[in-house]
Amino acid sequence: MARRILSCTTITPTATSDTANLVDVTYPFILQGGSSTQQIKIHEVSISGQAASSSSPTFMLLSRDSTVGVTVTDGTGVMDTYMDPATAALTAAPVQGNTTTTKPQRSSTLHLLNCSLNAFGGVYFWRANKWDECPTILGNTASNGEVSLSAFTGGTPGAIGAHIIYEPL
Amino acid sequence: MPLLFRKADLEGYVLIDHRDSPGFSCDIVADAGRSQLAPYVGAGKKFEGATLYCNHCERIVIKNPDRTRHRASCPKCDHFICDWCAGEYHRTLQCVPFKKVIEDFLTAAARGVANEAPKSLIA
Repeated sequence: MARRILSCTTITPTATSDTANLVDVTYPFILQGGSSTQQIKIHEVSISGQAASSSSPTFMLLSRDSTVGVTVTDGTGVMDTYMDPATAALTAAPVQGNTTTTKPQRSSTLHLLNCSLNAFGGVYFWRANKWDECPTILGNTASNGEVSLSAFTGGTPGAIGAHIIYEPL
Repeated sequence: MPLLFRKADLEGYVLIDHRDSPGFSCDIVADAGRSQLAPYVGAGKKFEGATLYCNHCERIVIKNPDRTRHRASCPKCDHFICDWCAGEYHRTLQCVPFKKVIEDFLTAAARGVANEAPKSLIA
């Protein structure tokens, strides 16, 4: 299928421990499978610090979620778009956003990528080499069906902008 | 000229750029999970490096350029595995690539038991 970009223009994440509710609009986004058997490959993660005035160690984690969000919608600044305008609409579009009714919870054992940076001027960027070296979202149930980008406890989280590039199969 | 397969060809890329940033000071670098990279993530530093994909749990691990200790790989799937999965492999001698988890999950779905929870590899 085609690659898509999920981005969050700006957000100041709230440090949240594992297996605690990720409160609305305190994290960039979650990405969840669009059907019970959908696979999504994550190709790239980019976070750019936007804190304006003081050191802001921000411990971002890309992680599987042990509780998946329900009724997920985009908060302000969260958007999902195709990379190629010729991309056809998916029958089962992946679900993404940072506002939910049932709150997602980050797994305590299934962290995928440590994306820590100092949000005061720092940049974090990761890209997979090839398709079969990408973490996979599988289905839409816990714990493999949803991935979140959120701040772990510690530090002094500052404003960031972030995007991930993913590919639903 | 035959094509040679090198495991290094599978490595991903990571950039942690603190050239215009205070970066991680000594007192916070461990909390950030960056203690192995402490010399490279301080104020004014830029780190570019390789990442490794664990074939068993799909963790992405930054390749520590200063590591001299052996890096694990699974002799059965012939792929890098992270230290946690290496410990599990040596305990059980079982190779369960995540691709096998996907295959099992999709097979179960095709048989009408899609809600069966997929096996978690590192839980």
